[in-house]
Amino acid sequence: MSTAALIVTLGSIVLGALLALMMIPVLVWLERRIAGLIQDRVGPNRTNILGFRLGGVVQSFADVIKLVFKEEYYPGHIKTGRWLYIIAPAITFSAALLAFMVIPFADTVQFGGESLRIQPLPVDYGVLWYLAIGALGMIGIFFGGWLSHNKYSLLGTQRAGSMGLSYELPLGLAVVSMMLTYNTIDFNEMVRWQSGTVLGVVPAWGILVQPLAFIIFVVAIFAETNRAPFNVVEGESEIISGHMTEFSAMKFALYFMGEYIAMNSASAVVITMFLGGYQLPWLSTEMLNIHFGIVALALMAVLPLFLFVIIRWMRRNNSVRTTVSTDGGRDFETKVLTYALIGMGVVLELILGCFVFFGGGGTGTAIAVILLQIAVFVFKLMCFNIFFIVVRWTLPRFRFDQVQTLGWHYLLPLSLLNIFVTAIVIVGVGL
Amino acid sequence: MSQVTITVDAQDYRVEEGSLLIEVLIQNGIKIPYFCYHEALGADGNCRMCMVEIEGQKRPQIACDTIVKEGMGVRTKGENINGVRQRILELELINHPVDCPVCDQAGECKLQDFYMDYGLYDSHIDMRQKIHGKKHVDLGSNVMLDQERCVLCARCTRFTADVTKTHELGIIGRGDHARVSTMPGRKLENPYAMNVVDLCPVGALTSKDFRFHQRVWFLKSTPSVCHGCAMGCNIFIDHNKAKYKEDTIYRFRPRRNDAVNGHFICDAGRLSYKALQENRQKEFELGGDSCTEQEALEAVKTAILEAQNITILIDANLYNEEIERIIVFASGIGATVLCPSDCYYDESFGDTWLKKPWRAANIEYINRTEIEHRLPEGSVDLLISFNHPSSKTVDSRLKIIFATHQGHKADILLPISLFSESSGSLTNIHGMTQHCEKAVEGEAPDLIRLVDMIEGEL
Amino acid sequence: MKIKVVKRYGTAFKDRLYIPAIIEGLKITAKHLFKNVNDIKSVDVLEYPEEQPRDISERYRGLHRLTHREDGSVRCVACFMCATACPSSCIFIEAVERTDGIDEKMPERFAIDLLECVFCGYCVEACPCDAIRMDTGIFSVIGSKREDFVMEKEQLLAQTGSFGDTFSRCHNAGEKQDD
Repeated sequence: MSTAALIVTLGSIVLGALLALMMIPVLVWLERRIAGLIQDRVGPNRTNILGFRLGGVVQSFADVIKLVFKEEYYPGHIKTGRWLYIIAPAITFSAALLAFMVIPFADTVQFGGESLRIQPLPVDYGVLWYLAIGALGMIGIFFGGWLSHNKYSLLGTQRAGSMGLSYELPLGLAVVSMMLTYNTIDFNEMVRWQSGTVLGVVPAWGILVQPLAFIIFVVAIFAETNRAPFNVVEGESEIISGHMTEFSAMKFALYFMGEYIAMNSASAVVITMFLGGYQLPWLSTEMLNIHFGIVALALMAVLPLFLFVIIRWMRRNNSVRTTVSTDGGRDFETKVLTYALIGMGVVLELILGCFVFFGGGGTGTAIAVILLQIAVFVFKLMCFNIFFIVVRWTLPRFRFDQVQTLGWHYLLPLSLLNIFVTAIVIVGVGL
Repeated sequence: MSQVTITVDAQDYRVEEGSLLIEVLIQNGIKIPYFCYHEALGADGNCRMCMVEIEGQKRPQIACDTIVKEGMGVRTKGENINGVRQRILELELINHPVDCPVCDQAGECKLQDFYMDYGLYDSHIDMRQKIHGKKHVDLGSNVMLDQERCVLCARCTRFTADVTKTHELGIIGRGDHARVSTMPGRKLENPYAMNVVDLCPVGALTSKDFRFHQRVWFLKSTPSVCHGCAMGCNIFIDHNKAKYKEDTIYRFRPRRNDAVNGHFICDAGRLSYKALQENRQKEFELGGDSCTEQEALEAVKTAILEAQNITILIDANLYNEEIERIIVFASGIGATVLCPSDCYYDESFGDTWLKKPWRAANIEYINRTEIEHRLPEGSVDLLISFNHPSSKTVDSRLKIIFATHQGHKADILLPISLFSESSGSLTNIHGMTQHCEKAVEGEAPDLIRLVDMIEGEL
Repeated sequence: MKIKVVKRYGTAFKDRLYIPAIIEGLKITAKHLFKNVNDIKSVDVLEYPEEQPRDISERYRGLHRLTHREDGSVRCVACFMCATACPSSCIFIEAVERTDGIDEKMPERFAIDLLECVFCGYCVEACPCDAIRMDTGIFSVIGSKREDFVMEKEQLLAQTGSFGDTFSRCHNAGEKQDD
């Protein structure tokens, strides 16, 4: 393996781990903040380190510290299989984490005749990996719920089991129709397929090619990740907290964080399969490589405007009403962050300027394109995560039988129908 | 006696000829308000509360002064008679201070009950116009008098005049100024004086002993029998378990039993609840140090197995069931059972009515068994005393005492429950066997359970 | 018998499709989200504890207090009405005879366990002497251990009402009245 290959692989693994793990506190914070804002509240915004509150994201770290230092408590009635009870949350957590590792963050690059994947696990059967490993998370829920010896845990586990059965099917069938369309099980190939256009103008994103599959997949993935409106496994108003009822401290936190990683992975899969992955619309990797100077110029033009909007928004909102006696260091924070943002902007402008006026050369341009694609991927990932969160705070929870009806009576037949139609079209068009 | 038929509220009753109408109404469970009538004291006719309508009579009549006649038609309900009762009640309450918040009778007060049943009027009387009498007068014998609250039913004066015949109380003054009082310089002084507290239908006479200790609606009443003497007067144990506190007895009240004590009990019996709850033995002790139940039972077992001869002393206050159990236990281990009874006899305590000189509740049951009333003779190797008061006068090598209260010195000391903490039956001096219910939840174990466990160990 | 037929909604195809309704809902939440993200100060919340609530009215059930008579002594006569009415049995009273001639009975101990109290106000309703009130306007009690939340008689007497009326307007039976 060449040095370049080693660097790229290691870099991808680090990036994948960071994207999955660092996203947890951000997502927990976003969840609480967005919930508050939707309900005309403020949400967590007071925890700070030396006056820096970063909009309240520091709260998540405080929560983690609290959960780590909480008393480790084991219900006395759990006798046999306690070790399994303890590792159960870790199973769910690692399954969700591993499932994320087959997502491509940027297009394959060519270095010295080697084709390198920007993918933590450089495999070409990503779809199968995601379906297989993603479903393993259910095992952790079974162990934890069953070994808790608690009727609510058992009910939650039973619900998780039947949810798994009824939603893996439409999920898998929706994926099958996409595999037929893209003619591959490699995520990277799928993204590349989507870089083209349909009818010359519309980007060939999965959502536009296969809208029904998109809807089925998104609904099924909501159910798979136990997110509202399908969070019947927790169902806190009916069965307390389902399989998590008897878990506390870090064991609970692992389940909790596992859920957010699963949601993050699900978002990543959705944008990879249906929303063009790391692609900018109309701009395929080849086009970016050739015309990067123009793209850099456009970015140079947009960046100051973007920074101006961000800073203006921050100055307006990171402050308190005049009736409040103290602002708790918000003014200072705004000042420091403004300088930091302007500094970052200047550096970025300089780098982009180099590309515009001197050209980056082959390797430089390739690296710049990779970074740009990673940025696009992260942006799309965040947007879809926010969509997940907004849906949770919009829709009430379905009753358990309604969830089952939806899965078996509507989604399953629809996904089968979708496969038939897709197959007929593909055979007919002769792709 | 021949029977007559009367009609009350359109229903026919066969009743004894010549009986009082109010008796008939009470016996048949028909609701009738009254203050001055009392089954033990008879009718007086002064409160006018028991008004009923009698067919053929122009005006309502008081039921306690009406003899039943054949074919008599009586109405106890209706707008008319309720109006009459309301106006009589208002008259009774003219000078009443309406200080229910500080009154101990609240909750068992006839004025409150009748006001809720028949009153509910807006008062015509200004608080300032009320005649004030003496409040909290100490009459003696633990009885407190509040003259303002009195409705002048004369139950208390009739009790001292007719029942105890001591004549301490009387009604003096006229009209608004009439009030219950003792003679100047004299106190209410007789061994049954506190019965006037129960007799008083309102808060005029209250018990100094019970005063302000507990509101009556918190109390639970459990039927039981007094252990003060061999008479076996029927009582209610009024107790309550307040939050975060022990289940406590607050008072004894007489329970009606015409065959034993009628409506009354003596003051000594009434106040015996206090000594009952003080200085309880709560821990198992081995040689003066506290130990666990298991250790104590183990020591008892070894002592019985090693003993040369065993003598059992048995308290004459135990229940019949407990005595029987101990006799069986004694024959099993070859012990002699004795009950030295001299310590129970107190000539000065007895009188001709309820108080008996034998101050042990179950002495009659001991008499009926083969237990001898004597102290043990000769040398005693092991003495087992079941709460007997004279166990300390007996010399023995080893002593085991089952005790309800502290103050015993023994090698092995085991706590047992009080009579109020377990149920059983007693045979009184007239040979009547009566049942006592368990009232209070206690910490100390039941005697029968302990004996069972000891026998199981052997 | 007259039967009223209620029209059932949600049976039309559009309703059964769910998606239009979901989009409608998302529109509403997104509207709130964007409005509040754009201007956080338009969210009408208090910056507690720097800002204190301004809407505590006379009817607000705050911390309890025991009222005084005109001579400054305790008004309560330990009638146990509040303890009887209390649904969480959090009022602990020990009565004693009052010897100063003002009344016959008073509480030796009058304690409210605020951790058990549900602030229903039944004690205030039940009190025949206007001796207990919840008009202090205090909504936050802080303590570091459980015992700190058991308010004893002296603490309850030391509280003052937030809405005037220092002395009770009620007159106990047997008390002299001026008006």
